[in-house]
Amino acid sequence: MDYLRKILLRSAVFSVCLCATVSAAEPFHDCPTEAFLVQSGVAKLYGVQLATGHYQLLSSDMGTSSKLNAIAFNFHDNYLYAWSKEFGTLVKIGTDYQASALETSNNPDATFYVGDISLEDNIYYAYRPGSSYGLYAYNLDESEEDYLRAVKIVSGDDLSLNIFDFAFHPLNHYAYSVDRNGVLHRIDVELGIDTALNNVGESGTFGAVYFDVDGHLYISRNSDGYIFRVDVNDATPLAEFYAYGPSSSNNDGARCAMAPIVDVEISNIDFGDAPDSYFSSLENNGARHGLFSSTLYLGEGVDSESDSFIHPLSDDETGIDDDDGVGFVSGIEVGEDSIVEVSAVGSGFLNAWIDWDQNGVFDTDEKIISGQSLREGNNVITYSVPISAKVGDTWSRFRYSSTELIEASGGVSDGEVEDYFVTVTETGVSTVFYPSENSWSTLAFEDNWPSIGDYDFNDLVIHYRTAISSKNGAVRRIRVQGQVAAVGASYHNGFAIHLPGILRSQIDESRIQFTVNRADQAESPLESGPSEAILIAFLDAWDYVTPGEDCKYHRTESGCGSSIQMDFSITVPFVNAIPLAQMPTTPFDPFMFATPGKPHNPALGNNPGRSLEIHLKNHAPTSAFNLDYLGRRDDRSNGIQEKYFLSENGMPWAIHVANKWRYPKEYMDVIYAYPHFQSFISSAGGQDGDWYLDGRAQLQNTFSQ
Amino acid sequence: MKYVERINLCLAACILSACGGGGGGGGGDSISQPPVVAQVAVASEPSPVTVAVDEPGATASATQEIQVPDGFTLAANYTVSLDVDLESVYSQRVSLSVCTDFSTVDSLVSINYDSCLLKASTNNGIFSSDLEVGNALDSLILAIGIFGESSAVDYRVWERVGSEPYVFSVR
Repeated sequence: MDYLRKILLRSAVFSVCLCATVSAAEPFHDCPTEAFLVQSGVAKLYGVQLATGHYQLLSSDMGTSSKLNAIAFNFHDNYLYAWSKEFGTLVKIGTDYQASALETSNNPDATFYVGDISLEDNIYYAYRPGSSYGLYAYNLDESEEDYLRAVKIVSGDDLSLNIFDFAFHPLNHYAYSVDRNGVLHRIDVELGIDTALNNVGESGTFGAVYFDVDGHLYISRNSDGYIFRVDVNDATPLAEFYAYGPSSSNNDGARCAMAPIVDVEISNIDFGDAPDSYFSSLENNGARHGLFSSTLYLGEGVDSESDSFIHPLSDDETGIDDDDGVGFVSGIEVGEDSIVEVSAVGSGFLNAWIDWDQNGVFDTDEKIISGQSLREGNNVITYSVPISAKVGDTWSRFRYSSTELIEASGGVSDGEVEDYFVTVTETGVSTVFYPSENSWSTLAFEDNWPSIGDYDFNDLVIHYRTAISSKNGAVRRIRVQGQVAAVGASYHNGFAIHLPGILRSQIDESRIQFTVNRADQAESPLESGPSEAILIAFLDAWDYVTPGEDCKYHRTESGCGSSIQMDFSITVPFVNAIPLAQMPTTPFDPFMFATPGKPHNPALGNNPGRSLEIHLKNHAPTSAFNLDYLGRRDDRSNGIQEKYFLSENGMPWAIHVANKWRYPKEYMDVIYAYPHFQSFISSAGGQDGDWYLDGRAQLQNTFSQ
Repeated sequence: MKYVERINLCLAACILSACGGGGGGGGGDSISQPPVVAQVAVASEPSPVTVAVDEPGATASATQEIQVPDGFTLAANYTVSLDVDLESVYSQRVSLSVCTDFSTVDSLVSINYDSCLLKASTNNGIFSSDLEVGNALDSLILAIGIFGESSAVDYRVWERVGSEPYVFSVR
């Protein structure tokens, strides 16, 4: 784990607390989030981002030819204080990083190695074990009578601790430390009394200890630089590995305990976005990488954040998708090898995991790639899928850094983490996706059938994709996924998928997996009653989406944007695999229907419910449909000719578009958003097959967030 | 993801159907752009356009006027039949992934594997499947994952030429 970095002999640009133009001996910025670390026989000062362990030199010349110890941050005046071996007294340090000696008095004949400043009182407490020494208090308030005069609290015999630093809790006024054996100590500095709590599970010389505003204690071990986090409020506080920091035989640390661990206004960390059970968030000690260097990452780039954006609210969906460095070349089949291609910038090490048992955790035995050295550019890597791997969707994590062996959680000072949602199949299963594994097509409806509407094709807009899994020419299961992209209608509508030619009885209903907004649904989506296989995704879109403020509809009017509010996934296994020749082709037969109990087009009487369906052109309705509706108003369906849901001119009430379509804004006729729609139709698809692409649109006439 | 790797690019043979033309209904005049005034975003709530059907070939001022050729369903995709026979090339298991978003510049291949239509494998080099491809897409790439002590990836590219039926033949 030797990660010692070369020392950069320059002034660090290090958070907003540093101002290059300030005069000497100016105080630091109010309560900086970074920790200060002093090292070496001739004192050098470092700044450490505890969350990632990233550190950089702030000053190699602190105005002393010897060590500084017992460094402390004074919350009352925003200066650092420390004990100078050379001057034999307290020194005060401002943003010029120069140690200015203070005139202390009544000092013991000793160099202090342990010290911190109380948050409650402006008093520096210094400690050294041994009968000749002890715990001392130095008042730093100039107005006080005992200003800078050492007052002995207790002797080093009565308070005898094998510790190398302590730090004040932000709220409870105790000082805490962890001794060489790993025992956590709580010290009442006013009375000079120690309470030994429990063993935190890690031992060593913890030369620098810090608190954050949430009461987490961070202890840094000299030998390897490991930073551990201890929640002292726990009944049995234990040390959890937190980040890889700098190692040194001579460490001392200070931090403003009132600062959060990360400055939310400064985003210089990359987090994963898998669900937090996988340890993604800062609070949960999630996988995170410092972004102070831009030369080590995967793919095209890496974006920074101050905390994780947990899927499905990942910033990959709404902002920059920086999960782009890993390509899953092959499928992931149980018991077989699989290939990924990893695009790396900079030379480093890759560690990766896949949650094979889908228990929400990257277990130790789920590491698929361990400390693999990558070269700059493309790297083809093979890994094995265990025979015990569960079939289905699960999460994976890929971490790239200059540290060779790392775990699935915790901070490192550089590199990038990318989390991917992947699918594991049985051996020999092939999957055909539409439009692709991770993209969307669009279904867009005019819901006023059998009357012609305004042709804005946004009364109901569904993002839609399918996956068909088969082996040896027979389909084992299908998956349909969707999102409600827009509801530009007052009518209440549901959405379903019919599988033409497939009977309900052919589906293994008890093994259907149905989720809405990532939550498992107890009720089966398979419609009871009809013998056909019909999957009901939702009965009423308005149950799931809301109009924007001062808006009438959902995501169709200008200024009425919002995030997607409803998504669904339906995985349908078959009792017996169905020959490919008998499977309907994608997109199958998706349709919208009137929500039962709600009014709809008056031409259809009161509350038509399931008897009203609107399908893609020439897709026959299901047995629930009222065939008497055909031919009413503007509809020119003819069952004998197998023509359905078309107008006199042959225009449909539903269209299917092969991408995540930018549909027209409310009331906008589609030809003014997509001028080439007409030529596509008029040429029967011979021309302008790409009419629906963004590049061929009048984008100002489409809905945008 | 996108990545770059040197390969010997091999274009797959594309079997052409007999030329019968595609489409062709609805008149031969090219369609002009709608009038500029109609392309401005509508700020208020206009009524649905109710102009009568115009003669075929003319620019419609409303979707309601467009005459759809008989039988045309506005299908979003076309079918490509993948036909792989690499039995004489690979004696071991290989993976087959067909994807749509890729680039090939000077034999450097970059593939976005999020755009794959197919993930499959074969132990004998033989595989076939129909794929539905969006109308705007004119090319596909097959990434062949070769397992072994030193894994590698080989490629075949298919480009749409002519009319259906389309076959992506890999030999």
